[in-house]
Amino acid sequence: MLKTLHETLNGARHETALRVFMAIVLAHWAEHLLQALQIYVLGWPVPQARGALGYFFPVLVSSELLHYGYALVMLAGLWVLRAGFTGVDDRRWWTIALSIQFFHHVEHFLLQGQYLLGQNLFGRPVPTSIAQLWVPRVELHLFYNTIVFIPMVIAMYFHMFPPAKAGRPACTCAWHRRLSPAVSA
Amino acid sequence: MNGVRIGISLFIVVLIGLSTAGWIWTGAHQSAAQSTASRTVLALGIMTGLVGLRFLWGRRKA
Repeated sequence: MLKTLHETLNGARHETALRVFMAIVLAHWAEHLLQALQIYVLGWPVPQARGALGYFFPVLVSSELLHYGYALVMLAGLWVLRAGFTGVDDRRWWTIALSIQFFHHVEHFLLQGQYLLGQNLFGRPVPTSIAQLWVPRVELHLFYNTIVFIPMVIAMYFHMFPPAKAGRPACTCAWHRRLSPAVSA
Repeated sequence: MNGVRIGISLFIVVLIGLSTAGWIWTGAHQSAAQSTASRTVLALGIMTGLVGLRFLWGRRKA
């Protein structure tokens, strides 16, 4: 059953799955971008800058579980949908995004572990990831999200517009295919 | 094709802009050590954005 689901998500439903995945990624980005705007442009104190949803529901920002959940969804999405990227360029960029997200997920796993065990690493007063030993959390997450998102979106672009020489693309995500239905006849 | 490329590019430009604003902000609001670390990752983020734009608009092998 899982194999069938995997095949469907990377075949007939790859486009739909990517749209849903992108919607989740953009919703998450909206929160982080708003938070950065609140701090860097509007001059809000960092603890008060919680994005839009976090402004009304602070637990969304303070909950390590929610952050870990998103990191896990990202990792799973990048892993599960990778098989649908059958070209050279699109698969290479998607794999880069997956690799970076794997490390990002490990960082969140460490944070979540400290929260669950009630024991923080390095004698810190709050759960701390490895990179957080040096880099403040807001900037670190802006960085992580950027370096995962950019290869991911480049992969999606190459997937939507594969090189003409590659022949007729197999995936419905490819715009060439939609624009030239006669080719499939 | 260009519409999609422009949309992605605008988003990347927003990311670069916010990272640049962060670069300025960290210099005034964080300790020297924190600011250096923040600026390092923000600069890497900006560079990733520029590399992304380069691949998005660069000539591709057929």
